[in-house]
Amino acid sequence: MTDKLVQRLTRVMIVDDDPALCTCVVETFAEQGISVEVALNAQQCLFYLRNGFSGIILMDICMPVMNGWDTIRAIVREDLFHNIIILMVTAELEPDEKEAELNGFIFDYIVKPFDSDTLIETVVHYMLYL
Amino acid sequence: MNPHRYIVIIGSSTGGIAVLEKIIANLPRLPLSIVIVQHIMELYAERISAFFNSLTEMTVCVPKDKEIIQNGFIYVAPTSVHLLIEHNSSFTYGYTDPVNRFRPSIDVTMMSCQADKKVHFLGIILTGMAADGSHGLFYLKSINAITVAQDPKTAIIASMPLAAIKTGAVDTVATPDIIRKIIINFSRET
Repeated sequence: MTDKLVQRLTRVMIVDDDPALCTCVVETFAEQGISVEVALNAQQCLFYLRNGFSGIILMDICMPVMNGWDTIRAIVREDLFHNIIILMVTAELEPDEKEAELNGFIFDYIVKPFDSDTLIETVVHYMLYL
Repeated sequence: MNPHRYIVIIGSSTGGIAVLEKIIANLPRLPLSIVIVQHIMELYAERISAFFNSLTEMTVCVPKDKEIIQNGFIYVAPTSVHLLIEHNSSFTYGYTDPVNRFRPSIDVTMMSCQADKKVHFLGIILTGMAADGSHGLFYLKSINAITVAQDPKTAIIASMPLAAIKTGAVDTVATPDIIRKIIINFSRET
């Protein structure tokens, strides 16, 4: 594995208010040698981005205070979207149409429940666009 | 030399990158032009273009303003401007307001095409939220284009293909694999 690839494989963030799910995702990627930043809410996500995080973001839609859509709006408002790819993680098959204007900021959806192989395959694939 | 020209216009939004990869992967150099209008954030049109270019024998690029449309090319619409097709032969950037909340808008690109017996159009709507592209596909049908919508059952977000189908102007509802075959056969069958 090249250094460049290793560097790429360390750039994942999970944004989800469910600590158990975050732990599960961290462990899943750890088995592949991929480290994951955990943000339990929008503010933590924004903190990582303001401090230079770039990579794949797994964004839960349903979170208290600021949900996934609100978080993306904040990312856009602060112009923090240039080196990230957002994958929405959701149990909803058909998201709210009023959020359509944010279409362009979401590369893809990962529908819960997901298996770890699919998750890793999807994330590693989209790293090719960074 | 075939006096006829063949232009494929694909409108795509959320979830469309993966579908486009399936459609484009290993495409040989076809005697047609493909224009992709993908709703995507700034800078990523170039990144998508660069990655897609590694998947196919066709040349993939983000077209410049006034660039001539050529066979064997796949054009990925730039972000933050509308991409209009002028006289069915070149691109023009449009700086007007977003349409359907999007710029580039699929409708705008499709509705810039002009009826011409020697220019054949294939319009395709893939996965995505809301309804951008449905008016454009309806218009393309009115100028004798072949029209296709991704099978909503295969779309991660079904509303865009569903809106296109609802217009009654869709000839074929197809999976990504079939859409790929339709594109390959387009310049041969028309």
